[in-house]
Amino acid sequence: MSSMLLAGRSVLVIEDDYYLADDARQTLEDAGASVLGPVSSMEDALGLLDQTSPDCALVDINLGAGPSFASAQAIRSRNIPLIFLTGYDASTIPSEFADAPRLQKPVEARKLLAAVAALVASLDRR
Amino acid sequence: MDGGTVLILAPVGRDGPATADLLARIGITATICADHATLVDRLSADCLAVVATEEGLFGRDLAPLTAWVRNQPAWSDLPFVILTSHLPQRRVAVWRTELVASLHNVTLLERPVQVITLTSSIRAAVRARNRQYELQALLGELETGNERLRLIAENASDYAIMFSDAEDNIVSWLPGAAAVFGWDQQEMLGKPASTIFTPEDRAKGVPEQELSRARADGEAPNTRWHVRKDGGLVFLDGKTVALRNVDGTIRGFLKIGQDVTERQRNEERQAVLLAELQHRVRNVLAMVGSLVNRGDSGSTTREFRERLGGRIAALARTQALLTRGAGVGVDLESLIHDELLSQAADAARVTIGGPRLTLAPKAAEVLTLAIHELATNAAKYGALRVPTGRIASRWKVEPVNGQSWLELDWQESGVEIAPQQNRRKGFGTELITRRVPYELKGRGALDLDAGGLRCHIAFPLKAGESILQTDRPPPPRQRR
Repeated sequence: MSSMLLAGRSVLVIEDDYYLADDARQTLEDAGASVLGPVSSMEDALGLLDQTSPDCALVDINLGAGPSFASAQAIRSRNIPLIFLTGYDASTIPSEFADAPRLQKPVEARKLLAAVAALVASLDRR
Repeated sequence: MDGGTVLILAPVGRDGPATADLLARIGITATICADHATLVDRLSADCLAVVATEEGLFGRDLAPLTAWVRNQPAWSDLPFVILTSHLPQRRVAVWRTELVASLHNVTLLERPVQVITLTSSIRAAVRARNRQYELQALLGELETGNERLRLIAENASDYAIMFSDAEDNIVSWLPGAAAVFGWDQQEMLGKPASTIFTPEDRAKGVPEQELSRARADGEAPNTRWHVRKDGGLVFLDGKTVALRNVDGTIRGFLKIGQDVTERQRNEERQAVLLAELQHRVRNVLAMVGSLVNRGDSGSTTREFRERLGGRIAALARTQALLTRGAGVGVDLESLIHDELLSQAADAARVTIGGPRLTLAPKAAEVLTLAIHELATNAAKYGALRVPTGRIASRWKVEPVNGQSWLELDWQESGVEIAPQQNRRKGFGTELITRRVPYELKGRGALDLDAGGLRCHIAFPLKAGESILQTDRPPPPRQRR
């Protein structure tokens, strides 16, 4: 896997846990991506999305108050593809997001990069 | 019928004993009544038939007899065989017509009567009477069954039972349905049975789909949320059964369902709890994985193991406190006290003070680890390492832009700071200066004063939320 797998790509990271967010940022930046955020709340995510449009987004389902799909909906409405990063089972994800890739916590850096790379590759084919 | 007897009223001449003899020969027990009053006395449900001569009745007050006949139960119609008298026609004609009319089940035999005519008539009357007894027994069984059904329907108060017609309008609304839904029978008669469906299910056409299935398959499961009169929801586990006429056309529907709302809510709560638990466990493991990758640079493997072990233990202490129940928080003072205690801090050298405060789970988790880092650092490099060292941890709550902020200070003193002592930008520093702002939307600063370390942590307080929420909507697959 090239270390610059994601060169020139921007990825929004929404994750309320600082360590996990920082790990994801580090992993993505090491692969050449520019990271928007990370942000720990939906409000911060919406603030960023108003200013810039990332290539894709990595979204934690629970930002401290139980499962929520509000930020995922906001991202979808902007036609930005997303990957869920979650400790929940697939059954927690509503059917409207059934097609979104889902990474199970704890996620290995290798898997995270593969998922993001696959997602941006599918964008290029569009 | 045991004990059954034919009553004979023939007071004049030999007719009475003669008739009794005839009946005895064909196996029918008879009782001779000497007069009309005796006959009336002997009348009972066991009486098979009455054989009477007109002269035995004529001129008597027949009111008690006709009253007895009139008051028979529904199954009973006592047969009378009346032998005509030799009284002049004009005297007896009107009387006879009235007699026949008031006794109802009458066979009139004109004398002289042939033996075969008399015995066959009485035999027919007794046979008909026996059929009445059979009917009585069947009616009794029906009544018992009905009574049982009624008792079941009235006492199964968590079973909603209702009947509707072919158009699915309610025609019977049993007490259980009234208890479960809150509407009484008067309110529901004639209403469409779909009234009890939720607006969402009605909009989706669920009532019609259920009826189609019941028409096609005989019955359809009805296991879903329904709506009560008070607007609340009730979960029924039951079915809708199509009721058919003899020709196969639909007569109506029976809907029966048990109120299992409590069980359903428990199952949904359990599903949510399970999902939260999975989420929690995976998050904690992810966090532990992250802690492993975040050592203090330059420490030895042994030091790293000790520090990591301490951090995981601190994490575990918070988890233990927070998973005790829903809606629990952590007391700030005991949090600080416990972390210092785990470093065997001398109480005389430690001052802890501030208003009583319960921290929400997230804040408790971050702050526990922060205090843990401060305390271990103090034991290793700072105020808890030297005999002159002191620690003061004080906090207050301040309003900032309409929010309550916790302002927490950790001040070490009496520590001689070697000029070359270079505080590593390690785990604790990142935790306080980066994680606190990120996760708690607050501030964190760490400085080295002349007398020791000084730390300031501030963040807005949020109402405590349990990490094991159960009042959230259940996962979609569990919803019906």
